[in-house]
Parts: sequence; structure tokens; C-alpha cells
Amino acid sequence: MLARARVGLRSPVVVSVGLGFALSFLVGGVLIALVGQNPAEALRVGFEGAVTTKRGLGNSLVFATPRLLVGLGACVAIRSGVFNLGGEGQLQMGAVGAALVAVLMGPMVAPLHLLLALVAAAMFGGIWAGVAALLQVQRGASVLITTLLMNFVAIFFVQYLVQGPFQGETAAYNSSERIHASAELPVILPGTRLHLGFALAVAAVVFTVVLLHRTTLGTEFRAAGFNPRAALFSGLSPRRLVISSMFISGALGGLAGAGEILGVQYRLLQGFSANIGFEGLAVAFLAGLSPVATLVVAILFGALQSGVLQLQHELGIPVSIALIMEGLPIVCLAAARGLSLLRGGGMGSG
Amino acid sequence: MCASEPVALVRVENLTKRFPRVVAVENVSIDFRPGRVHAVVGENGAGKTTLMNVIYGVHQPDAGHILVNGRPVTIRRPADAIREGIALVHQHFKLVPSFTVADNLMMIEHRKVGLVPDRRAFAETIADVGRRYGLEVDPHVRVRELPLGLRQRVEILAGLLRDARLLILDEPTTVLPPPEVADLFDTLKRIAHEGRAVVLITHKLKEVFDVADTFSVMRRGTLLRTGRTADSSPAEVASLMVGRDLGTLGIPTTGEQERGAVALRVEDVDVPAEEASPGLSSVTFALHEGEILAVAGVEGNGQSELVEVLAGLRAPTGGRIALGDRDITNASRRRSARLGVGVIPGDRQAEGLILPMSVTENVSLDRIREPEFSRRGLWLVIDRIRAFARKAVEDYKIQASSVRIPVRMLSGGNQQKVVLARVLSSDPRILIAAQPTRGLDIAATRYVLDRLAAARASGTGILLFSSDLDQVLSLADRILVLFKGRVVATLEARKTTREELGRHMAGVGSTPARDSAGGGAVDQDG
Repeated sequence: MLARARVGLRSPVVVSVGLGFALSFLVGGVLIALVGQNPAEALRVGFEGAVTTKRGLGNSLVFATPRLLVGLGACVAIRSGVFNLGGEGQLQMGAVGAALVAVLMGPMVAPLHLLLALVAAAMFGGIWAGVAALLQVQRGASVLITTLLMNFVAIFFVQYLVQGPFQGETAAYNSSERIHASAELPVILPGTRLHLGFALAVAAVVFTVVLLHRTTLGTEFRAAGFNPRAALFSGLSPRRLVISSMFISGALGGLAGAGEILGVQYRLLQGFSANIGFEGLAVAFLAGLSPVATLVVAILFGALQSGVLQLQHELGIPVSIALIMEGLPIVCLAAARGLSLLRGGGMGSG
Repeated sequence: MCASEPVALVRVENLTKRFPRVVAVENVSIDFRPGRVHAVVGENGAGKTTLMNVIYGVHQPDAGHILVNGRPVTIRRPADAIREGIALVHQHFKLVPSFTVADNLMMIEHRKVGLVPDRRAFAETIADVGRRYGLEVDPHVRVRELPLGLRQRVEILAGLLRDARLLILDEPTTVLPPPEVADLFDTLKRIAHEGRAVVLITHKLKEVFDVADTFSVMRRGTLLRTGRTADSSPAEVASLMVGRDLGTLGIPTTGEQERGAVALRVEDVDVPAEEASPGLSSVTFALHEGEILAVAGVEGNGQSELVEVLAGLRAPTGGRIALGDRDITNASRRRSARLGVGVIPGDRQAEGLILPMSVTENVSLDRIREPEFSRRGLWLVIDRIRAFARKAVEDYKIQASSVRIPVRMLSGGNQQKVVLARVLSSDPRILIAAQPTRGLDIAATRYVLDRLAAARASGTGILLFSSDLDQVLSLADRILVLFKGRVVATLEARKTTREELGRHMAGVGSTPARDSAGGGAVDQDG
């Protein structure tokens, strides 16, 4: 199963992810040359868009935020032995919850309105994931399948809302009315788009680490994740653990959705996510399901996204190159895992 | 070594293998000669399995050589070992349960059978080889339907089909009922007789002297002695193994116990029979406080079903189970644990422990929500939990360099002590102990049994599932015999002989003419 990655700079996971990113830059460079641009120039523009300018750095962190939150959710669920592939759907439902509160309620005192919107997002995401958990516990329907399918239900539900009952009268595109200013996530770095959501996501890293290692619930999560039968024998209730880990995981996904609505788009709109939920899952896997590593990988992904957008903006280089560049580290990691499995390595048995 | 000894088939020279924190094998040299059954004996953690894993290419040696037919070889992976004619039958089998015997063997032999295998010819080969070595097994049965003993035959067959010259068996008798052990030993002698070398890893003295020609004793990673069984004695080997006088060893015997109130009452419990399971039929008995009630029987006669029903892992289809005066027939495992039903599961690695988690986490897992160990049942009080774990390590003499290391790194005996520490520390009202000493060495077995006896003395009612008849006879107060899912006899341990118990276990115990004086069998017709 998913053994937790050994931490350390020379661990196979870190090496393969590092090689993967190197490879992705190499392939990215070749592709950029193929579309007729100078790779060195592209590298400079890309770095400006992602790292070396204040605005670019802010953008990178904005892109990192939802991927980090969904990734943390994946860490919680999968380390509890529950394969929550529904990050995208939970994000979408969280966005709905946040938007409903932010548009329909208020205006009211700012921190209160924001807080209510965030709570609603967490609840929507958590309950959406909780439904899948209940289906598994009560009816034996695998979470792996239900969460995957419920993603599409959530995506189409958002479409229905913004084309139907929740469509804004002033909205040009399929989107809701603008949210009240009192529910916005304020910008925390002037001159950038970086909003409070990023700080919340970093706090969520701490929350996840504390949850998994400093609470009874998290210890039980990990026990059930490693060996559900032994957990059962020692008197834990795997059913309860499935439901609670899925709720927390979904709530984190829901907050990712809230961040996009309250900090980036300021409306609920069709297609706002562009597969952020799935990328978040990939981020968590690349990070070996460690919350701290998830932070690092999410920022790398955010920077890549931000840099490539800059390339498109300035040099007209297609965004699909970004997808290729994001995919390569994942392929490398998978290859490294497969290789170590073939060699019978990884877990030494004594 | 005698001059008449044949040249070694496989020879290890000054082999050393270190793991982080431990030296598993230190400077070991042994010759494995053709025509011999060579027993490698030692307690758990002595380095036997590690040595074999090095020979088989699972681990790389840190120093030393392996020679095959006098020629130094490098074995980087099991495939290399197989090429050199070495086969290993693992303690835990590596067969695909949903495949038939023939399919499994074909998969292992894929190079020989080609892309389009001739299934019929292959099945005949299996049958031929099986007959030749006394390893008969139906090639068309799915492996998951086979009892463990037959799965082992398939593994041995796999080695023979590859024409292995050196066959290593790691604790092969752990999974066998006593009559099949003799069959296995016959097979091993036949295999050796053909000029192959057989290595038997074991910690059971009796086996060494039953089947082996030569033996090597290991302790704490070093080789203490290699010799011929004909020139040695069990007592000598045993004292080498444990490194202390055997006089202090032995199994605690039953004292005159006052039987307490009924702790657990089981009435007419039924579980439907399934493929490869006899289920349970009208199982009825009472377990008293301060009593050890042993459940004896050949494996697969309803023991695991009974454990699951009593532990709260499955609900019986009929009957009643009461803990004191509380009905727990349909209680979940969680509820039954809270009411005081402790369980030592039969498979410590799959059911008893969370191997990647630390000793601390394993010892405390079921108690961390108690106010002593967490605030509001949520925030762990790490200091107290760690102190509790340290005390458990001390009390139960668990050999671990730190309470923070994963239990995966402990030896089998120490792993079992972790399970024991967890289960007994919450002071259960009744204890279901399923094969609590399986695979343990003498010292660890003794330790576990002492602990069970101590729990009994403090009033716990213990249901002991064990396949070790001597253990059952000496430790238990009463013995309940399961046969095909029924209780066929309830015996007073002190008035029962090994032979009588064996007859009941074989389902032939109820001869009507037998002495029916007090304390004798309470038979039920099957």
C-alpha cells in the first residue's frame, strides 16, 4: 500500500520528484523551441511570472492555495485508508457554500461574513464527502468510485446554479452575482493578488500535522489507514473513522473552493476550477502524503502554473505546455515507485 | 568436520549483515552439504531468517561470501539465487490465492512452459513430482481453497520443479497440524536422499532431532555451533539456544484454582458453514472468572469463527452470548472492547499490530481516549503516553532500543509482547487469546504463558486457543474440544491425557464404553 515517504533529501521520492522537475524543464524548453520561441528568453519570462517579481510570486502562491488545501484533504483521507478522489467535487461544493453565504447574506461586519462563508464552504465540502463515506459504510459502495463520480455531479450542479436559479442579473457570463465585499478574502501582500486564503492554507498545514500526530483521532486515522483489521481488533470503529476522515478531508477541499470564490473570482462561475481538485490530489501523492511536503509541492505547482501563464501572456506560448510540465514529475514519481516495487525494495522486512 | 563429509553444495563464509541499530548476522560460516537435512536453530531474532534471506538474495551481505559448488557467486536478487539452484519456502506463502495450483506453478515456471502452455502435460508433471516426493496435491484446485499445509506443498513443489539443489524452509511446521508434520519430514528426507540439500529453519528442538542430520545453532546473530544430531542431545542444543540453564524453563502449571462466577456464557451459537469453513453449530459453554478454558482442535474446525463471534467481529446467526448479565450477542468489536472483552488476535502482524507505527502508538492505541492520556478525548498528552509505553516496555521486557521505533523492527516475540501489553494493560474482564505463542521461542513463550497465568490469578477469565497440546494440558483448567464447528468434548485438564485429547480432536473421542466418572468428557454427538 501507500507507505509514507521517508523524509530526507536523498530519499528516492525526493530524488525522483527533483529529477522529474528537471526533466519537465528540459522537455518544456524543447517544446518552447518547437513553437518558435527562445527557451532562454522563455525561462527568464517564466521566472519573472513565477518567482522573481513580487507580482509573480503572489500569483504563484495564489495558484498554490487551492491545490494545497485539496492536497491536505487527500493526505487526511488517504492516510486514513480512504481513497478520496473527490477533491474536485468537494471544492466545487465548497465554492457553492461560500458563494451562497457571500452573495445572499449580508452585507455585514466583514470578519463575521467571511467567517460564515468559510464555515459554509467547509460544511458543504465535508458533507459532500461525508455522503460518499456513508455510502461506503452503509451500503458498501467504494469511496474510490463514488467520490470520482460525484465530482461530475458537483461540477454540473455548479453549472446548473449559475445558468439557473443563482445566475446574476448583471452577470455577462454564466456566473452568480458578485459577492459582498464583506465576505472577500482580503489581499495580504499589497501590489499582488495574494489573499488571506494562502495564510489559511498554511495554517491548514499545521492543522493537518497536529491532527495526524497530536490528536487521538489522527492517531486512529493512521492506524486504520495502515491496518484496518488490527485497528478493528483493538476496538476502534473503522466506520466512524471513515466518516470523520472523509468529513475533514472534504471540508479542506471545500475551503479550497471558498478561496477561489472569495479571494480570486468574487463570483461563483462555471468552470472556475479547471481541474484544481485533481491537481491537488496529484500534489499530495507527489508529496508522499506528508502535509509539509504537500506545501512545498503545491507551491512548485503554483509557480509552474503562474510562470507558464506569463509565457502565454507575453510570448504566446500555449498553456498546454504547462500541463505537460506538471505531468512529468508525476510520471517520474510513479516510475520510481514502480521500480522500487519491482526490486522488492522500499519497505525492508527484517 | 569429518573427512567423509561430501563437498558443500552451498557454503557461506564469514557472512555479516547489519541493519540499522542491529547486527543481524555476524561472521557466520556454514556448509550445506548434499544429502543432508540441515537444521538452523535459534530463538526468534537469532538471525536465522536474515541469514537465509541473504543466501536467497533478498538482502545483500555487508561482508563475507557465498560459494555454490566451491565457486564464489554474487546473489543480488532472488532470481540469481534461483539460477544457482536455491529455493526458499517462506513462512508466509507467496502464491496467488485465486489461481489454481497448476496456474501458480506455471506462473513460477513461465520460462519453461512457454507462451502457450500445455496445461494437461504440466498438470501431469505436477502429479508425477508430487507422487515421487509425497507432495500430492490436486493441480486444479484454487489455492485459496487449500489449507495452509497443502499450500506449503505447492511451494515446495515449485522448488522441485525448478530442480533446486538447495531447498530452504523457513519455520515450515508452524502452519501444520501434527500428523502432517511427519509427512513433511518424510518428504524432506526423500528430497535430501536424492542428493539435494535441505535447510530447515526452526526453533523447535523436537524437529531438529526428528529430521535433521546436522544442525547449526544461532544466537543473537552469531553461529555458536554446527554439529551432527547423532553426536548431540536436545538438552545441549536447547541450552545453546537460550544461553541459560533449561531448568528454569518449562510451562507454568495449574494450581488449585477456585472457579469464580460465570464471566461469559455462550448458548447455542450458530454460524453457517461456508466454503473452507465448518461454521459453528450450537456452541455452548461457560467461561468463569479466574479460569483458563482452552479451546483445542485441529486448525480449521471453527476456532477462527468462534474468535470472531466472541470478539464482536461478526454476529452469530443464532444463539446468545452474555458477558456477565449483559447481552453482547450482536455487540460491535468497539462495544465489546469497552465492556471488557480483550482479544489477542491469532495473526499478530495482520490483526494485532500496526507495523509501521511506533511501540508507543501500538501499546496505547485502544486507550488514548482515556482522560489519563488525552485532554477532552482529543489532544494527546504525549509525555504520559510515552511514560506508559516505557513502563510497558519495562514490565513486559520488550527489547526495543526506543519506544519510538516502529514495531516492524521488533522480533516476533517482542511484537507479541507489545500486543500482550496493550491488551492486558486495560485489565479486561475476559481475554480471548488466539494462538498467543505461535512462532515464539522458548523464552518468549514462557513469558506469555506466565502473563496469562498472572491474568488468571487476578480474576480474568481466559479463553485460550492453542494448537500446542502440552501447553493446553498444563496451563488450562478445562479444555473444550472443537470438531467441525461443534463442541465435542469438555474436559478437566488435570484428568485428561494427551492421547485422550488427541482422540477428541480427531473426532473419534466418544466411545460409549469409556469411563464417565466426574471430570470426564461431556460428549455431544456430532
